[in-house]
Amino acid sequence: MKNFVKTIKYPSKREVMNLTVLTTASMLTISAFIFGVDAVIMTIYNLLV
Amino acid sequence: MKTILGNKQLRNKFLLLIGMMILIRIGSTIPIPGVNVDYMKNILNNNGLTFLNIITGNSLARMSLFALSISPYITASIIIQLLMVVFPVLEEMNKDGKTGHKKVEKITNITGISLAFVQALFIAISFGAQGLLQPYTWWRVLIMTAIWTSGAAILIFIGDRITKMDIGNGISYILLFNILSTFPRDLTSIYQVFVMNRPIGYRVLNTLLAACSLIVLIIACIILSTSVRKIPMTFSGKMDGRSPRQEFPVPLNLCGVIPVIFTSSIMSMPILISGFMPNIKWLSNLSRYLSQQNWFNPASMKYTIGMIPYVLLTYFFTTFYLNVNFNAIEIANNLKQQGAVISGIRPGKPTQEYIEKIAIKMAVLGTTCTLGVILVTCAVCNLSGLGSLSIGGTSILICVSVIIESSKIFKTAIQSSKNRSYYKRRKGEASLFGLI
Repeated sequence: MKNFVKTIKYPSKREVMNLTVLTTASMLTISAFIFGVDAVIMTIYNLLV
Repeated sequence: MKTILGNKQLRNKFLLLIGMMILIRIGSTIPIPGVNVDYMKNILNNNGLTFLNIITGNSLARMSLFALSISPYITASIIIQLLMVVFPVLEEMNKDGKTGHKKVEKITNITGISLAFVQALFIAISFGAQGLLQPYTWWRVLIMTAIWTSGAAILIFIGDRITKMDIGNGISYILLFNILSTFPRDLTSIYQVFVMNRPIGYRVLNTLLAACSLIVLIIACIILSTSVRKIPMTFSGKMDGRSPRQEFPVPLNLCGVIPVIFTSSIMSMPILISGFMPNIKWLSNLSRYLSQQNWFNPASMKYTIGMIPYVLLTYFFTTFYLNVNFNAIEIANNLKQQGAVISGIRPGKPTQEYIEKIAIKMAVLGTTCTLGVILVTCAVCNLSGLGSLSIGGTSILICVSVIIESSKIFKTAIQSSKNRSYYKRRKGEASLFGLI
């Protein structure tokens, strides 16, 4: 198994860094957007009901 | 982003995706009048059903229009995958190209909607029997059932529409939106536990520590999602006499997070039922062992034993999923038809056996790493007193996989549209000079 693990190709440091920036930024942007959408929906709902 | 908005086709798809996301949030946020929401919140919080709440995007706790979300669809997928072993007709259908795959999709959708109906009816009757549904009449139960079933059906339809847009799997996008919708609440919990009412030095230190832990978790998930084993292949170079070398990639996380989602869904069922029927003692005891909230918890360390069935079930679903969805015979045949030979392995059956062996090793290794990430996160959260968070191993892994996958799809789409516009321009120039 030890030899098998060595045959796996892992992403380079640069690739990992780029993907970390991409995923972190995307996650923060989408969650902030959804938070805003939820807040707007609840505000409108509370005004109507 | 600029390139996506600059391209008409991609822009339309992107805007449609945002539109669908807003629609999902409307259905997940608006509560149904007459239902006691606090009771459901208590069931979810006291029994550690955080994962179920995360995959429903907090809509189960709110008892909103989309309360059931895509959980019936996930359960239906598990049932259909299991039935494929019992009924070979289904397995043949699944492996019979696009048409067969569409038929299986249709069967899964219908099963999902039927399950949503049963679940909705069960919840409505349970709520009504405890006086939490006002007024409790058969008509009211029927309306609630119809609303929740239609909510689940609408989400399945939205997922299907997104898939047809060719920007990735629709259900994965819904899962991503649901998970990310619970992030702000979790960040608040982290703030309350580690930062609020602490001396300034601790505040800075704890904030840095929490941010670093989150980034380390994301990096671990990225490495897990992008590592591959490349099998060297040689093509019989008939065209120019040379023999070009290529590689056949087998990803480390071959089964993705599907085994973990299946396991979590199955393990949350007894917990949910015991939440509605607290009088059944043995079920309550069992659900304490199955609840991730109690694992590695200093106050209830004996319940950590409950992670053993979790680990075993995940390995079972890994091998099961691999057996149903990974077709080594087809891969070996395709390689043979293309004239590709794996170095040192004869074409045909030896190639098939070799690919199968590598795939099993990769899948087991991938699942072991995934379980490692999930259990370490669970231990850190429970030992530090944070409890179950949506920023856990499973959810981060789902988010990372979906984001990486969709970024790849968008990049490919941008590249192909660039190529198309380049050829159009070249064609225009050529016709200008009277060549075409």
